[in-house]
Amino acid sequence: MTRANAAILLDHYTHIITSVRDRLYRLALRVVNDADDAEDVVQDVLVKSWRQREKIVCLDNPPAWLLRMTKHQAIDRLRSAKVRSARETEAAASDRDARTPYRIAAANDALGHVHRLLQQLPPDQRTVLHLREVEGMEYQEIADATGLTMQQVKTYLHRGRHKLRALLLKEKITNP
Amino acid sequence: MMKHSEAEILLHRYFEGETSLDEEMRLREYFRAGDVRPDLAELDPLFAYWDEAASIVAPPVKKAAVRRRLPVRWLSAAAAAVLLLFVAGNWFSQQSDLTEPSIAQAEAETIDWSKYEVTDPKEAYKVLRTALGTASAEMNRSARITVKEISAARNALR
Repeated sequence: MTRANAAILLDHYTHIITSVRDRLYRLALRVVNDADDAEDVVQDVLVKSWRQREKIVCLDNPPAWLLRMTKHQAIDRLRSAKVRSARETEAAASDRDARTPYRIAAANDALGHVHRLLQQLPPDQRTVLHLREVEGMEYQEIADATGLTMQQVKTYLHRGRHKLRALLLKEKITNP
Repeated sequence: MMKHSEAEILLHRYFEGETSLDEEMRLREYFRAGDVRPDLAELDPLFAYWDEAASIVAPPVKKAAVRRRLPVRWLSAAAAAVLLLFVAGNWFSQQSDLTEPSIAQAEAETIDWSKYEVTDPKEAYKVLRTALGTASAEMNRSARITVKEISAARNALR
């Protein structure tokens, strides 16, 4: 590879990463529910993606590939005994936890409650909801980013929304 | 501005998973505006939460800690050299320990025979007799043993 080609490749890769980094972080945060862990997940994904930069820049949809990698990496991390244990402790804790990822939301009782309700959903359901509601992605994009089928995406989204509404109504949460 | 009735219909479709991204955006704006019908207000925190979550950004990239890789090869070579020097030093030390004391010992053990030189003729005669007596006794003893062994051999051959 000539130096000029290497420079173009680097520019392209940097542009992709810059445009998608916040989304990767939010997704990782959604899955692992811890700011530090989410940062580590993104870091790992970026390191791995750097090693495959030549392949990534040639993909049709690099962000989908990176999001899928982030989801897998985050789920792997979540499954590790250490993190699982920490999450269980956190789930049992009250609002006091200062390291909750959505600090702004947690500062607000109603939003903090929504966050905790959302964390009760299975990771796949949570991920699909996140990609649709927070990232505003189309069904096909979500399917590409998660490795799920379109039908699974629709089903998870439907179930997730219903479950959240049911929990909200059950707890009679109101925005102050 | 979306009407309350329109919001209600969209919400119904939203929970059935039938809304488009544009319609979902309009619903978001409806709740964001704050003028929400009381019976729909229960869903206000949900849409407010999505807005909050979307505003989160990744923290600035930490400068990767520079991991200085230890020059393993150089360290190994240095360690080997140190080990070699230590072993060699130890060996030479042992060698000198063995040599020097033996010379010193030899020097120390050099007997000054002049101190024991017999000058008195009577004493000299006594020493000589004792020495010859000892030698004679040992020679007789050897002869007796030899005779005894030959006799035993003869008896065995008969």
